[in-house]
Amino acid sequence: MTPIINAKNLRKIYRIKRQHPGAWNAVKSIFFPDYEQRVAVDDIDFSLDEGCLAALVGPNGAGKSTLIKMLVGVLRRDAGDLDVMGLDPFNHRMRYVRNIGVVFGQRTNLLWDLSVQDSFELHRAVFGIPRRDFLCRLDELRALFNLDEILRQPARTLSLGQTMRADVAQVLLQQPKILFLDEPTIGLDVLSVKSLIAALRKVNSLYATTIVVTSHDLTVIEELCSNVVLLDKGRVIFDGTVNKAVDTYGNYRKLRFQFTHEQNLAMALELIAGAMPKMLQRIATRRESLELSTVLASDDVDFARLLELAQRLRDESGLREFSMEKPTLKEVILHVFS
Amino acid sequence: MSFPSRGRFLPLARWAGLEAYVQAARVAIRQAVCYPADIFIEFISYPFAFLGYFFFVAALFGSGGSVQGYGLSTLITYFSLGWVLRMIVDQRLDGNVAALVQSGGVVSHLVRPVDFLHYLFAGFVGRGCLRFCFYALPAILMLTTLFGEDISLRSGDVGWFILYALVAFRMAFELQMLLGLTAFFLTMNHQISWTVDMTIRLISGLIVPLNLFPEPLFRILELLPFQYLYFKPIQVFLHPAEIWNMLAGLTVGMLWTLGLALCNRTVFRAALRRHVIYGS
Ligand SMILES: Nc1ncnc2c1ncn2[C@@H]1O[C@H](COP(=O)(O)OP(=O)(O)O)[C@@H](O)[C@H]1O
Ligand SMILES: [Mg+2]
Repeated sequence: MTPIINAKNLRKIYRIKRQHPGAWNAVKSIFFPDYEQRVAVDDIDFSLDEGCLAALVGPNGAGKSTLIKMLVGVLRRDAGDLDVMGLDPFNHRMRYVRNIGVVFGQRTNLLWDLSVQDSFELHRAVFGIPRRDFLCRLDELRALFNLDEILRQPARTLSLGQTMRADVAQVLLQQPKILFLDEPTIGLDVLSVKSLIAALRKVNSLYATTIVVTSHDLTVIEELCSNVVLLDKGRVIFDGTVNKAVDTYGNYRKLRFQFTHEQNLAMALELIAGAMPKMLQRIATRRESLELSTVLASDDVDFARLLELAQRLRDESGLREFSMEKPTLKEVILHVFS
Repeated sequence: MSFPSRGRFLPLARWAGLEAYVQAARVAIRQAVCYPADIFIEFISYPFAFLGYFFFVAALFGSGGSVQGYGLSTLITYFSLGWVLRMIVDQRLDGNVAALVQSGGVVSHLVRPVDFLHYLFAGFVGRGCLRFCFYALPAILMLTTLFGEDISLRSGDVGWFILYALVAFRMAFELQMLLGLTAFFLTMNHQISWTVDMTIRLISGLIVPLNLFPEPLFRILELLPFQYLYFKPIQVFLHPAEIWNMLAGLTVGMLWTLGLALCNRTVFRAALRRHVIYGS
């Protein structure tokens, strides 16, 4: 498959005016501004396939929003090449934005004082959507995003979750090839997040819309995305499928043992020390829940010996439960960034 | 649920590819009428700005006499027209644009396939129509009731006045836009806006007819575009000249406006290339 988004050596440097404390410095800076350069996006290479659900992930300040702004054509890059659907987003902005939908979580595109329906009507005219297509599409979106209750409400009276639903539905009216969402779940409660994620997944499967989200909320990424681009300090540290990310960075397993009595813990530790000394290095004891937990490199996992150990723990020191898990994407990402 | 096709002129606008802009104008009107208190308060605040002149002029020339051809009736008509024009074009777009730039809200405009400047002009036209109906017409009614015998609205000059007023309208938009766009480069504040507006009021003939200024100053102001905001349209109304002169004046006004529009386009393009979108 040919990539729909292709970035090569992408770079953005911000110039920040330094502010020094004190009134005198404030006056001085009017005449002699003191600038500092901040590399927000540092030589980034990545590509995304058509139809994928991709996440740009990274801690605050990693450069996610900067990258999104370049991807949607509102920020000029300082170096590198960017090709999205065969266009250069910044230089072909007018033509380009016809085929994308953009929502910034911190800001709504709805008309503040007018109803959602009025916003949609303006949006239709701005994008030149034929009325018949518009009504068809709106019908589908109404069900997907639960719009009936809010269509006639002024945007300023909507809750955060409703605003986001309306905002995303609005940009889907023009049937975009790519949907860009910057922190779409910021400030939303768990239920709103869940319903937004469900709707986005449906949009992706129904219309084959490529979706690119940035988020610092790893749960969102985990439940929504098929691809991740991990960003840190303006650099890409990983670009690939979620499975590949978990395989690459999650080459360890989490083990958990639960016992019936507190006295069992000490005995269990002794047994483990004898049977699998490697496991003892990172073992954590939680007395309140009578648990021992640890991680083991995938290569060190030896089923036969583990089962044998579990059996002995059960017979000799009251083991009640035993589990071994693969790390989740969320844990893998936390692991990478820590 | 039905989404009725609204607006009688929309099919025509759609055909001309202007539907987005017609909708933008309609939306601007509907947004403005969401704040009826603002409309009302702004309307009643204009008399405070202007009525003083009328009393002053009446006190000076009530018993006859004139200065440089400006007698009681001419001055009352001059300030009445200035008042009405001002009510239509004084939309403080500069502050709105500066706020869009500083809050990063401009990004919402940039991700839509419409020209930012044209789109804002459409809104300016919408609000201009609203202001014409809600401000200008009542103001004309009020002024003619109060100073009936001194205001002369002869029909022969109205046509030229309207043409000049249209140029003034567009020029006012371009000037407010230019001031607003500087927010990309400077941290704009109310003080700058206020000072610039104050100066423009003075050198455009809103406060004093320009030919009452000292001769050298008047000669300089005649070389600048600002006279086309108030002085020229009102002059055309008060002292219609030869048709060729009026046509020439109109052309020069249009060229100035075009120049400002090109300047705004350049400034905006430079701003996008050199500047960042704030927020998020
Ligand atoms: N308009 C701006 N001017 C100067 N620096 C900025 C601007 N926007 C962002 N930055 C800086 O660039 C870096 C990346 O910011 P951003 O892209 O917003 O990160 P993220 O969205 O991942 O939190 C940060 O260090 C931030 O301080
Ligand atoms: Mg961000």
